[in-house]
Amino acid sequence: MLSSIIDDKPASSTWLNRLRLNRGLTTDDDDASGNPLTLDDFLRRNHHTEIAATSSASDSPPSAPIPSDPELAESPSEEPVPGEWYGVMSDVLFELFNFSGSSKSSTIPGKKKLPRKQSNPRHCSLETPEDVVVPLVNQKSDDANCLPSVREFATSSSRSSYNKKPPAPEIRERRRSVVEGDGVDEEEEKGEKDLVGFSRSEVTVIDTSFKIWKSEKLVFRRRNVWKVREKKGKSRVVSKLKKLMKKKKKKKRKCDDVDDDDGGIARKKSKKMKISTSVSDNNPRYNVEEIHDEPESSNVSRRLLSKPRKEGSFGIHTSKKNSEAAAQGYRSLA
Amino acid sequence: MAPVKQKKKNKKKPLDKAKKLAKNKEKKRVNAVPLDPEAIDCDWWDTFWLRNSSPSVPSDEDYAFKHFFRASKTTFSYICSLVREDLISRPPSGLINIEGRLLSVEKQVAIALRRLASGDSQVSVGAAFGVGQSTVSQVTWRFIEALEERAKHHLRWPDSDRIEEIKSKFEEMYGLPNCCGAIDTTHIIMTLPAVQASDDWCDQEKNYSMFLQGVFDHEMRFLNMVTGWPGGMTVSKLLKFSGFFKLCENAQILDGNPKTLSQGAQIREYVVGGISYPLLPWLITPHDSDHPSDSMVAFNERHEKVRSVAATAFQQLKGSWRILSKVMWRPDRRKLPSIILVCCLLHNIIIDCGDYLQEDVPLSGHHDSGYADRYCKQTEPLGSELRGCLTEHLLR
Repeated sequence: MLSSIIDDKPASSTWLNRLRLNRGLTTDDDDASGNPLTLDDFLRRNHHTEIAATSSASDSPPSAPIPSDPELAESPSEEPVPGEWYGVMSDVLFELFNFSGSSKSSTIPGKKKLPRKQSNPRHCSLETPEDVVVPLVNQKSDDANCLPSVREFATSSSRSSYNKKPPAPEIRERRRSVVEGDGVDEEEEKGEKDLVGFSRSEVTVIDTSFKIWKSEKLVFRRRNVWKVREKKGKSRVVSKLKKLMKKKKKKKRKCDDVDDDDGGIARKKSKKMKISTSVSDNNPRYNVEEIHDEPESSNVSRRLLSKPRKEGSFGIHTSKKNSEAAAQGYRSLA
Repeated sequence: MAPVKQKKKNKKKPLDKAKKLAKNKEKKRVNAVPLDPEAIDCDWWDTFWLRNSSPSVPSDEDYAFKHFFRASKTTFSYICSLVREDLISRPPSGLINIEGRLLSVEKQVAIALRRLASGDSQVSVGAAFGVGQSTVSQVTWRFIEALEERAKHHLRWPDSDRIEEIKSKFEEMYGLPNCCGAIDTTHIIMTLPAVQASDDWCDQEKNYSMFLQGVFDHEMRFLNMVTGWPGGMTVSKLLKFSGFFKLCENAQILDGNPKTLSQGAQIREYVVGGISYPLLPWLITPHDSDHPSDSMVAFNERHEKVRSVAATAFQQLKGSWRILSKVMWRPDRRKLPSIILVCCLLHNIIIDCGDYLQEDVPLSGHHDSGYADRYCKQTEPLGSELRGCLTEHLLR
């Protein structure tokens, strides 16, 4: 290939000559120093007309060679002549390499370029430039709409925006204490669908309220927001695969024997019933749950009637997805 | 070289199969042979008592038995009968102690109960019985697995007749009408390896812990329990994640006959909980006011008495089964809920069998010593209304 490119060089120059002649341009090939003009030199000099010329050039395979590309990339710094061609090229380059001074025509959203980070970082260095974080927050100044990971990131660097109240000093008195809201906004969580920024724990829960006492669950937590999901074990995947296999087999059977159709449907139904009951045993209506505390503005000191008590600020909201009981929900009075 | 090896393997295979078949046949033959009673360690109690008698152990045999295993000999026999089928040792798979004798079901149950009751290390429990640490580990886990399957009937929500009985007892003892139980929560503290040490398990007191929530009747019997949730949650969240909450919200339980009070107000069924719980139509918490009236103070006193039933039950549970009150050293978090459940089942079995606990068994302090109640501000109007009616009723 290399040799072919070298061999093609004279061919490309003759092609260029022919093109120039066709377009009625001067055939003066040499620059001031007497060197023959390359295609790139030509492009630089006549960038207005050359766009058409290069597009037609791409039709001819031998001249397609790309060696001119690096030169084009460097050219803006060498010759800072503003023009459409450079504008287009610089935009492409900005998008390709995500240069710091992003072009106005850039279409890649900044949030896709988020640095990989721990899901639940404990510390965040103060050197973290805020100006990097802010534009990534989906172009919204409101914390509520930013990505969870970014919010976590921003929170640790500027706590005042997140924790409006300072953490309550823990009261050491026996059996009496106060719950302090940590400033998590409710709406902030409602719009959130993914679990980025949540810590994840596998738990084995034993609950005598259900027919099957023991169940495996996944607990996701970010601050005071807890989400619970049923852990889907391998057995489920296997059973799904088996179902698929069986369906395929049944389809084959249907082709072979049409009389078996009703029986097949009946069997399918009974199996579906079995699967649904086995799932509902442990979690009848609540596949996903999420609970979080809501901050309380009042910080009034309180007293239990029989014993001295401290101030309290605590409220709870639940939102139960896929649940019939969602309407009955948890009625907050806060 | 490789093909040669394969040939050798192929040659060996039929022989191996034949050997395996022969072994299986042998096994079957051995299993079919009745056990020699002399080969089973039946005099384990005499040996154990002799080995472990000390000034702190009661001299009376029955008392001493209870001291070690929390249960009377009758209750112990009953527990053995529950798990016998799962624990029965048959050679060659049966567990063999140091002297080469098979472990009887009784001795296995005794080892497991002693491990749960004392919370001592497997090594020291093993030394007390003359078995190794691994035997204690194996036997205890086999017992737990067996009992959590075989003793489920000792922990269930009561039927309507029993609920009526519980309600009348609560009213008789504490004056609260239509009360079905008391709810409370305790922490089971553990240490975790650094790899697993997630903040989720780190509770308010900076311990790694697992929650245990229980609903108790007037006899301190578990009516409902849930465990396994991380200690990093609040109690109100634990309640919301529990099946008990769902059953109550969907009126599947605590939806029995309401009681009409003298002033005409109707009181639905409910349980009583502390300040960590939200005030709900079916969960009544104490009044929380800066300037309480006399009626409120009176109500809170009654309420506290009922609530203390649950607190005392946890004291007894953690005192009887000290494995729950000691800091568990890096437990398997999948197994820990089973351990907790079995302790709850044993707690109920002992009550159901009419055993009484010795005075020194329950914890002397609070069951959740070092933990402060976190106040939950959540209130619902129906709960508030019900509490108001009860307060008014108690004044009369």
